[in-house]
Amino acid sequence: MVALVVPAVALASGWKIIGQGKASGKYTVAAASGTAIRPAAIQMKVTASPNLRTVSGYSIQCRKGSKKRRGTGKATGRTPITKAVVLPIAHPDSCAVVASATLAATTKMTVTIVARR
Amino acid sequence: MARAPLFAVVVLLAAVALPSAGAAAKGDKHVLIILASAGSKPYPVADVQRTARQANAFFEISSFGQVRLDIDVTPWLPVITNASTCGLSTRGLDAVVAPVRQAADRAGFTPDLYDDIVYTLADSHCGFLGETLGHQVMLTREPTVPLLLHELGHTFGLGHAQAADCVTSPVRCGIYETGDTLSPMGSGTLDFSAYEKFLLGWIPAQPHVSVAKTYVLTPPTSFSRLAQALIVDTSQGSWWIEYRSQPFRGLVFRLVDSRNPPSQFAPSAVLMLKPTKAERPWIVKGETYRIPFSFRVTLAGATATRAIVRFRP
Repeated sequence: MVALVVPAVALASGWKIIGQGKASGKYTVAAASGTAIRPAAIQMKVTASPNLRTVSGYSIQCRKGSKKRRGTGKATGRTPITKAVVLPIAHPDSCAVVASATLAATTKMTVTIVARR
Repeated sequence: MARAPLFAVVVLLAAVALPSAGAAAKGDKHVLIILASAGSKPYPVADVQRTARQANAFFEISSFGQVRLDIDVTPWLPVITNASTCGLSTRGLDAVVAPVRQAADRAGFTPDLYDDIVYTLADSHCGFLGETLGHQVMLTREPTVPLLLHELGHTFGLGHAQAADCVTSPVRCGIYETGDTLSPMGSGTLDFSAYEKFLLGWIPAQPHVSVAKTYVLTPPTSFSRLAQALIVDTSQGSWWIEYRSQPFRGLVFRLVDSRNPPSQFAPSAVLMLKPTKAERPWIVKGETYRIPFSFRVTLAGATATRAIVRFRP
């Protein structure tokens, strides 16, 4: 079962959730998508219950004026995982991000994308 | 699985002769989400706007920047009356949404100027969650990202992403109508499939293979001059084989049976949920998928950017 939920949460640290997705089961994928406006930094977070080793990745596309740049990245390890998303352009106007992680065993997993200005 | 009733309605309606939505999506798509109720405001407009931004991000990444959704969301419009009914035909839907369109017009929006319109009818008491007819979507629940991706996919002409959990031919076992755990046209949120991206015009025509050979395959997640899918034509239909490198590295197999009955949507692809005994919907490096008396495919190499695929008829 897969779901994308969109909480309107501004975190105390200045990070703001821009996308969150949840999935449960085995051999499925949890994914989240979001758009960050003028982000200074973006992170991808993967949590699971119970924790497990997982492979996660992200794709990002940023715009600055008429310029567009894409980037990808991955993170492998045991949950919880926090991975900095590399901005392909410095000081972008906006960035679209999709992040995902595999559920290699039966678990509940959440993928969250956070950004701060 | 709250979406199941919604999809069932879509399937039902697909059997009715309706104007084709056309399977193509490029450029800026102007979408209007009209929030209509009997006077209540069951969820904030800002939440719907945020959902719309997330759906846009998904489309932008999935299409490699070829599609951008420009989505406007109306305020809540108190136009639903007790007399409102739920249309189960094009004429019926038009009748249901006519006062909603007029209310949106009075609120300063011009529905005719948009490519696609999503009507969210909060107090409609309809016996289903929603339906898609041509470029109009009617929802009876709060829009979520998966729901928007799915229904907008229908407005772009895509059918359901189905699945089967038998090892070889889906002809021999049951098909889950929205069982594809990877595509938003099924029950997933990873990405549209290579087949769907081809239909949408995001990737070019892919090679049909029939002779024993080793092929290089790149994931359908960016522009490439290399093959992004291999198509194997068989008596059962066309097999679409694609490689994914994130978040897993593996080959995914889908069968498109173009003998499906005519529909307003493109023919569905059926994802093989268990191509090997490992019971995951992909094979990893070193594994082989065999269709008896047809073909076998081995994933011989898998990197972040490409796969080495050994094909034997």
